[in-house]
Amino acid sequence: MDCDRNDLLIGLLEDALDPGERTAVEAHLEGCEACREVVEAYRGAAGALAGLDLPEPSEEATSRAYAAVLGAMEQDADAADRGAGGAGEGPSAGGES
Amino acid sequence: MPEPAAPQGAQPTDEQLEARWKAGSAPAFAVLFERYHKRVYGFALKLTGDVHTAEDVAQRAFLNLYRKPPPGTGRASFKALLFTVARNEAINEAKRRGRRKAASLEQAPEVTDARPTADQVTAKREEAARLGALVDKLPDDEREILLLRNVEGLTFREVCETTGLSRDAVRWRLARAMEHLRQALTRKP
Repeated sequence: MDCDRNDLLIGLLEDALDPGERTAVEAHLEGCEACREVVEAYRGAAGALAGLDLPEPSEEATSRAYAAVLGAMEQDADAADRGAGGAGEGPSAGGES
Repeated sequence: MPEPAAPQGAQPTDEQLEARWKAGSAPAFAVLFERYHKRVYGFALKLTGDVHTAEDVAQRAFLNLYRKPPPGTGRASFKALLFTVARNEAINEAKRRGRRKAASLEQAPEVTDARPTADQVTAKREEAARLGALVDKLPDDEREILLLRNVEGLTFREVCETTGLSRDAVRWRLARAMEHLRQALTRKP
C-alpha cells in the first residue's frame, strides 16, 4: 500500500475493506508513523464532526412544515371517514409522547 | 393486541413509532417529525446553502415520506430513509434553482476572534465554528458524504444506499473530505 491511499485508511476506520486490503493496510501502518498519524487525525475529525451543531430552522418554518404534515393527516382522516361511510378507522386520536 | 407501554421515561424507538404510524397512528408520525425536522433542515441547509430552500426541502421530505410510507422489511433505518428523501429533494431543488457555487477550501474564513483565551468552552465553540465553516467550503459531493456519515451518523452502508454510490466511491469521497479537513485544521490560523 502507498501512503497516498487515504481511501484505504478511511476504509480501515469504516470497516469497509476486503480482507486482502485490510491485511495490506495493517501491514503498512505497522511501519509507517505518518499514516498512523493520519488515521488518528481522521479519527479526531470524525469525533469532532459527530458533535457538530447544525443551524436550526426558525419557529415559523417549523410551524409551517408541521402544519403541512397535519394538513396531510387531516386529508387522510377525511378520506378514511368518507370511504367508511363516516365510521371509518382514520388515524388514531391517541397521544404519543 | 395493544403494544406494551414503554418503561417510564423511555422514548419509543424510530422503528416503534414507524410501526405505530403504519398501523394508523398519525401522532406517531408527528413524533418522528419533532424528532428529526431540525436535523433534516440543518442537513438541507448545509447541502444547499439557502435558508428558504432548506425549509422547503425539509417540509417536502416529511410530506413525501408521509404520503408514500416506506416498505416494512429489508431496508435501511427510518432515519436513513428520511435523509435519502431529503437528499433527493435537495438535489431536485438545486437543479430547479441552479447549484450554489462551491468555494474552495483555501477561502475558508479564519476564526473571527483571534485573541487567545484560557476559557476552554470558548475555545471549543470557536473550534466548532471553524469546523462548521470548513465543512461548508468542501466540494458538494464531499460535504454530502461527510454530513451523512459523520454528522448525522448514518452507517457506512446506509450512506452507500442513501447516495446510490458504491463502497469504493463513498470511501474515496469520504477520504477526500477528511483529508481536506485534516490539512485545513493543521494550517496555522
